[in-house]
Amino acid sequence: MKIISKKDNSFLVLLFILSLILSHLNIFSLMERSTNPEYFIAFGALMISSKLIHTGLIKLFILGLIIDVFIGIILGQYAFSLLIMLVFHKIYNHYFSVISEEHKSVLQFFTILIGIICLELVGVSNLGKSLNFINIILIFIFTFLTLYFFQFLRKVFTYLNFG
Amino acid sequence: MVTRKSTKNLKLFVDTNLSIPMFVVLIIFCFILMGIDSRYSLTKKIRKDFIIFTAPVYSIVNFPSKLYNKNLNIFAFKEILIEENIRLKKKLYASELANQTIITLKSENETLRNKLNLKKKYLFVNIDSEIIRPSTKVNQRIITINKGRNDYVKEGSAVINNFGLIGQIYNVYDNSSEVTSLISDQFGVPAMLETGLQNSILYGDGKNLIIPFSSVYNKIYIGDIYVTSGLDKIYPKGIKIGRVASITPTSDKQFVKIIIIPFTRPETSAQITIITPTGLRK
Repeated sequence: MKIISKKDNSFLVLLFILSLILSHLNIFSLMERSTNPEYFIAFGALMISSKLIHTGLIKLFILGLIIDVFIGIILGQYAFSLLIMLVFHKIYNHYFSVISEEHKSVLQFFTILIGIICLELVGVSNLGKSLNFINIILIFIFTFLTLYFFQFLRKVFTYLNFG
Repeated sequence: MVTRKSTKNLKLFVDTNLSIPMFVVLIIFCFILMGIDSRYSLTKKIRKDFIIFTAPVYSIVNFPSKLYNKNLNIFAFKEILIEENIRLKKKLYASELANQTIITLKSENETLRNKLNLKKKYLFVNIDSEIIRPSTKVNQRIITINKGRNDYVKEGSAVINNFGLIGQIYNVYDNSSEVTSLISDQFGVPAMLETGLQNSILYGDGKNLIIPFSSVYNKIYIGDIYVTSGLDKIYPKGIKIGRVASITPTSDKQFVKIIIIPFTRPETSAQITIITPTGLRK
């Protein structure tokens, strides 16, 4: 059990570093606006939904602050978004039993949507950014695809480590 | 035997360990942090202190492009190099010709200024630099360059290239700096037409530059060129900014909205120059 959790932790660390590097690359830039996916929102959604480690409020809050220091526009932006995502995830799980893979995808869909909306709201209220709905939709689509990519990486990592 | 469960520990749900007070406290703490950061720019200060953690990320991100550029020089064909050499020589010749008239104009300008006892000119220092990736940071157009505090770069300095204005230094670290692009939402520059008339302030809107409200009676036409007016003492006078692309009416009939397309974008050139004001010339 300890070995499994150590390997899960190392996968999370690698994924964190990958998200950090990808966040600084301008891969997706459409219509003269940057529509880079929110890699850390996808990372947070994966962490919360797959229960790789015990995701408590304080852990997620500290993780959010670390992300804010690296790439956040304002301190507390990602911390706030991740906390809301976790609580939404718990509320959803409490009222709907999420068993099938399709239902898990729906839950991840809404978790990511909530995370991106929280980020945009913080940007609008603190930085005077304007809400561009097309931008938000594009970022959401790319973030959701990123989540699938991260899940694929997890499967590859698990296969390489455990055969 | 049935026993009563204590309800002292308030929890959101039975099967998890999420607690309501902790959640509320953390959310309030987030809002407090946001408020403090927006007032005192804490994130900037923390990033400067923890540059040792962020610098390796930049190195990793820039490594492939640096490797590619280095190897490109090795594999460049001889003919391409000869052609480029001829083209650069022609460009240099044209620049030298233009430079001769500029030197004369400059000295005439100085003489006239002295005769008319005009305001003293500000001195500017040029620092050459290069744009290193990334060019966006979390969906914000911020350009990173390879000169910083150790190279005497100051916050607020203008950044230009051979085509025109690029932006303004927003954040300075020891060996690198961040530049806000001129089309960023947070950018503004005092400008005037190339003819020296129509002083305005141009604002970035994410795509181009705009004058949101310009009087209908102003003589501004499509194709006119805007340059920096130098009134703020940050940007030297005469740096090209962009060309008027469209003039559209606003809801108020007395005003029109002018859209200016910049001459240069950060992606067009890696070589840039930082212009730092050093004070009044005696």
